[in-house]
Amino acid sequence: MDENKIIFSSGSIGEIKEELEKIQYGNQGRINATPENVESGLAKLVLTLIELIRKLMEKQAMRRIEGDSLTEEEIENLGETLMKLENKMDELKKIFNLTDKDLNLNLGPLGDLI
Amino acid sequence: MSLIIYALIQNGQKNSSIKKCIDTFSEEIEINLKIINYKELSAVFSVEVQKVEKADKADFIKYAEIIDKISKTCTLLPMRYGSLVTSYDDLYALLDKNYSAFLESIHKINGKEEYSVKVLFSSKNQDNIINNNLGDVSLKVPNILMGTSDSKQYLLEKYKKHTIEERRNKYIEKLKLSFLDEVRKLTECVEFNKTLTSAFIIDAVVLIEKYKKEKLLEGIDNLRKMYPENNIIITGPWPPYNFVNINIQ
Repeated sequence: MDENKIIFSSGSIGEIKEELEKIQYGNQGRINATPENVESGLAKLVLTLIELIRKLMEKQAMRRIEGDSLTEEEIENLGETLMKLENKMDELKKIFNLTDKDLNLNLGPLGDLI
Repeated sequence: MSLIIYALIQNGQKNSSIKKCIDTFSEEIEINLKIINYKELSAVFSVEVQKVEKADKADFIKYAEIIDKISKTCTLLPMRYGSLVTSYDDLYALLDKNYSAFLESIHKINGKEEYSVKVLFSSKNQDNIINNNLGDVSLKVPNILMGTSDSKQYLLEKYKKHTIEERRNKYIEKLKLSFLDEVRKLTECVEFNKTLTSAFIIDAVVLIEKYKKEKLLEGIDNLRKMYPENNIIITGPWPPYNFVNINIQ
């Protein structure tokens, strides 16, 4: 951050700098596939896409709960499905040594995937 | 040979002072900056004899510095980093083909400056801040989630997180509207960048007439009074990078 360009600030300038540095140095959100690590690079991509779909399903489920459009049976099935899906994702993340942070692609000017 | 183009300016006014500034600056940074004129436009560029192989951060910073320095003397159309042509003929062709678009953009930004406004959550308890601002903190659990089965307990936890996220989005929208209320008193040229970390509430750029700078600061100070719990920073003036978008032919 070019400090000469700051013309107004309020709150904690330290916290602001910290966040701006995260953006400047944050490149963990990119797929870094090389011939040596292509398997984990690909796994990261696939799991990121599955995670995106899982999150969308979760959002949709919350909308349906809010809309009160689910029966008792449907809510039990939905909860079980989402729970199993999340557990399965945790298993896969462990297998490929990935964390939640890894499953977030930076799409440059479009921002983060998730 | 490569000609690296930094900026376009409208020639005529302040020509001698711009030339003087560029000459002085050229000596400071040891890059021989040149100007060529084409009708009402002038292009500021440098000549690289060796082939430009790879860009690096230091080059990028230097490029931005040059544009910033020139922008202090006149209104300019900043070129994107990496704008280069291989001959003078190509440079003239570029100016010729895009003449109207370049000139129109310069007129649009004439006498104006860009400022960046960032509003961020402080690291203090964000949920409390949001609840205090929005009021009505009680969580209304839908009847369908009442029960002790694993499925319902799981969904209830998800629902709580979802509610917190919704309230956070509501707070961000409210703050964004307050920001727009203040800024639109000065300009319609406001762009929001996609927020890059979860701490960001607003990452915006505004284009205002130079003389409106103090009014902008007053407006943002009003915002600070309304939302004193956040971190706010304004930087600038910047060359109007975010308000010129030309598809170069």
